[in-house]
Amino acid sequence: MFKDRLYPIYAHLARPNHHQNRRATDRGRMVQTSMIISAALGIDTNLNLVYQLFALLLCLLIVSRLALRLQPPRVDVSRDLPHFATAGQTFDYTLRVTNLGQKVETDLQVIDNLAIKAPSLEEFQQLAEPGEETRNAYDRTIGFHRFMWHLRRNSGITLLATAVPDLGVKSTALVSVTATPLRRGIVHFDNSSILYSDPFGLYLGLQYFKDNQQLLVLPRRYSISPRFELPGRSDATASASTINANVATGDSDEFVSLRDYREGDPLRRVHWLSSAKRGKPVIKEFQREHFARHTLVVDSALDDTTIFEEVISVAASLLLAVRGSARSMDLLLLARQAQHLLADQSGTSQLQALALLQSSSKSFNILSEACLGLKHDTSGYVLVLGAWDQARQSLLQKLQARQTPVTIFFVCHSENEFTDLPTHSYQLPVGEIQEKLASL
Amino acid sequence: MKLRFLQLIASLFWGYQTELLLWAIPMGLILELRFLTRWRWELKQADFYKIADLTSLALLGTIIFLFLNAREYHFITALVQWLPLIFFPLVVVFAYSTTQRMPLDVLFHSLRRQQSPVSQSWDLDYLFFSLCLVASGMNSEHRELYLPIVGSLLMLTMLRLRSTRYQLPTWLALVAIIICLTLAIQTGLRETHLVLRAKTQAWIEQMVQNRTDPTRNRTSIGAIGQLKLSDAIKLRLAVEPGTRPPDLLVEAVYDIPDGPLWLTMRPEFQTVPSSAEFRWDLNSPIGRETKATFYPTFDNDAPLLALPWDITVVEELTAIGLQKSLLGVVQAQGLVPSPYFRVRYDTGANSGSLPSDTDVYVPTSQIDVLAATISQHKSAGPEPLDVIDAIFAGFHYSLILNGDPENPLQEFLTQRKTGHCEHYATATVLLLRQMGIPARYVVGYAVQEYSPFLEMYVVRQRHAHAWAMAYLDDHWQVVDTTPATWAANEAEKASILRPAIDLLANLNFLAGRWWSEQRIANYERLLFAISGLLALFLVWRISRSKQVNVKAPKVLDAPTEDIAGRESAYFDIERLLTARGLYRAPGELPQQWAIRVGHPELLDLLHLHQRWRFDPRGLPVGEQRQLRALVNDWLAHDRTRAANDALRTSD
Repeated sequence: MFKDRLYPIYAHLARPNHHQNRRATDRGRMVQTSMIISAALGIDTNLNLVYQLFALLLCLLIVSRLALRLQPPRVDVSRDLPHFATAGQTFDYTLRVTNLGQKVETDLQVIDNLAIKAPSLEEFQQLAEPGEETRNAYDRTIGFHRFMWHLRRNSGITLLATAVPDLGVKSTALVSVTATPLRRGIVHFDNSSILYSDPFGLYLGLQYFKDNQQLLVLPRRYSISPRFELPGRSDATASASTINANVATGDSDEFVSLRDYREGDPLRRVHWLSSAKRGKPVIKEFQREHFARHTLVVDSALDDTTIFEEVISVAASLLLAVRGSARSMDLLLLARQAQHLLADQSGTSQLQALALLQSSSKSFNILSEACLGLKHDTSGYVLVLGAWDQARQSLLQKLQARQTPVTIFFVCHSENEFTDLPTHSYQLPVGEIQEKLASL
Repeated sequence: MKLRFLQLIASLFWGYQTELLLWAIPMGLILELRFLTRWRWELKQADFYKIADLTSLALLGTIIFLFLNAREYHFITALVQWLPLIFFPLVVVFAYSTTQRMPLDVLFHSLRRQQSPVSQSWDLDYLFFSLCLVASGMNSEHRELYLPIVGSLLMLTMLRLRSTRYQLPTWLALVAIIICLTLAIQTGLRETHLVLRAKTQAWIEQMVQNRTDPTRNRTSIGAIGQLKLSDAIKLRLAVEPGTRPPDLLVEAVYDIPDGPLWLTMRPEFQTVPSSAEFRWDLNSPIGRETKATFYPTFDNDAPLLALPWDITVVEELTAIGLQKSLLGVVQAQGLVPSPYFRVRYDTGANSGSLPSDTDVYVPTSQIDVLAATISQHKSAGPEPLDVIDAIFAGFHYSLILNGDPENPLQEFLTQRKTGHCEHYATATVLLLRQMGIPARYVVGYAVQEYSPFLEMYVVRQRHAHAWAMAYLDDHWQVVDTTPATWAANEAEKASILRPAIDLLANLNFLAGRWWSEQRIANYERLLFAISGLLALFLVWRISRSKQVNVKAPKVLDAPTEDIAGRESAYFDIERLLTARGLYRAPGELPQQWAIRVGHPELLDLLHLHQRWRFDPRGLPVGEQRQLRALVNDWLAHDRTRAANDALRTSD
């Protein structure tokens, strides 16, 4: 295809050290275009006078370009990044611009530059920009927008140049930059640039300030209906089969009753007044607290990137939904090998693991075996699957054989993609996931 | 207010340069009026789409209009000159709407259905301004006026958009550099173009071998090889039904032989006065004129015209002038390529001038051969043409060239008796002259192929021919001694693909002829009707839109109430620091500010100042005076310090 032939040119232009020291403004591009048009129209100096306009615009562009060297700003830039951001959610961070010179700096802009990673030829060929089919034939043929989409996707965040307020001598301005992460994972900030205009506003000079930083972008998350119940019981009077799966986290302050002392009871529980009355040790008994312990199994043995990303988002949404409730959720996923991440207070480590999880080429059976081989019991399993094949069906059958409650979320492209779905399962077609999760 | 007045001036200048001032004045005023009114239309994206579609239709209509107008050969020039007018509806709609910039999908239909939002947008005011500047240059008039006006307009626009980083004197100095550079470059461009043009023209003329030079003609006599003649169609010729086409079309006439060359001693051309627009009367008709239409192909703007020898009138030829040589050669001047021209010819008319001594000149080297040849055939008849016929009676036609470089004419007449038209024509001219009859060498084309498909005659490159003209019975007559088989002989060498190529060429020709016959007059009513409907639709669309009154942002009045401690002397120090660029940052306390800028000694003064400003009891008069004194001391001290710093720097 034609765009494949253009790929080396795009890749060359996007190489990481391809830093320019200038950039044309909108006005500059208009003058450049006018110059090219006037060069074409004014080729015959007998026929018209446009060649004079061409000469004027050419000189204007040359002088503007050279004038960038006249008054380069003397400033320094540093960056304050938050620890985390969430894919798709706009956030603000701060750039600190300090004037190091002896004069007031005006008309400056600042922008952060991300580490640029060009897509491989295979990625460029196979992965189309969403909605590419709606672009016109020319754009589709040359593939420039597709390449730019890959670059944006790889860099992971959209940033715009932000104006810096007038900087007094030796003063510092805090510039708030609005950014929107495009994907989960790590975003590498490479450097920051100060942009300053030439006297005619046709070109912007660039100064780079090296400042490597990383930002962890957590997966996009959906809100889940508050009515949604995880499988298995979570109260303290759980049945014998499930009581072991509840995590006894200690006694609350709720007084329940008095009882006779048993060996091993702590002395601080002795109710001295009653013991004196009865003449034998009596112990205060309090309400015992249990958290229902669930296991969230994330299907990462998937080829379909769209489905895989949505599986991650649904899993992250479920983790977030249980936070603060009387339940805890362990996470089981397949990276290089199966990993079992226990629930922590904030759930942050689990979200981080999801943020960095890549689609695995390994068999789903590894995940199945890890799931069936878990040493502790669980109140119930929540499976987030992106396919419904023999391996996944087999896992379900084995879990059901243990009489463990299981709830399954199927992420799919359309409602009728999977057949013979078990009970307690939900289909989440891409594009309707928020709607479906909100109405569980 | 970004382009206030400038757009008006640009518009007027465009109108002045392109003679569209009647349009330019209202256009400029309409755009200028928006700065005086706050009424704006609240248009939706769909409205912009519709208006842009109308503009596109207008652009398409203009292109068709210019194509239909066969006389408008500078299509691009005219189109660019009209562009400001074509885009004006769109510009004015944006100017009076609440939207400032035009997204590209408004103009480009293909972007409208794309899912990703269109991020690029144009400021139509600047686009219109640029269009006016370019369009006003599409004219070679007022060469001295263009650059100063366009330069001034551009620099005034740039002045308004100047970056605040630079002082005005710096900016002005750069503008002066730009002006000097521009003057040098534009003069250089002009000079270079003129030189290049002259050189290129000379080079092209040298390279084009088959172009006829009215002053010299190199024959292939004496050359070795085979003449390669092209089948390409040179011209097409339509005559009225029942009339014959001219047998031969004369392109150039020569009178002096010089080895393989034919030259003329009388190369001067005289301008033929035009008798009407694009009409020239070349000779007076004697009998009934025959009319023909020529569909030629020209490769330059001053070609020799291949015309019948007995031409009387050339008309509908889009040239600045026509000139004719004494020998009867006709050359067009300033020809604009047009699909056809018409001619009239009459067998009685005569183009060439009276014979002179050069018309009987025979090179001495050839006299013996010619005399011997004539004497051998003297018995053929009393008339010179009888002798000529007798001489060439046993000759054959051939395009194979293997002549004798020493005397090819002798070789042809006495031994080979085989040659092509240049051999026959040269020998005939010299034989006639040897017999005392003035003769000239003529090159041109034979009209011999009729195309039933086109219903007209077709003249190809290989129909190029040479023959002799003899002055007999007080007028010039054609003496063509080349055997009649030459045409058939050459036709045999045509490519087998020729019919297919001819068909394509003829179809292309017919389409071009139909197009050229279209006249704007035939479509005037239709165009006016469409334009009227479009204008009505535009007005209707806009009038349906909601009108809003865009209010200018209110300028906050300066606080009028008296602030406490306004007369505090400490404000003098704050003003001084600010003037030095040591701004106070937003939210920064005055104390922090004083420490940051390296003046902690101000904290005592600040204490008094703040008491004056914020203490409900105010500051006693004595302490106010004390503050004034402290401030004055500090300022004096600061001046001394600044002077010392300056002194150190200069050292």
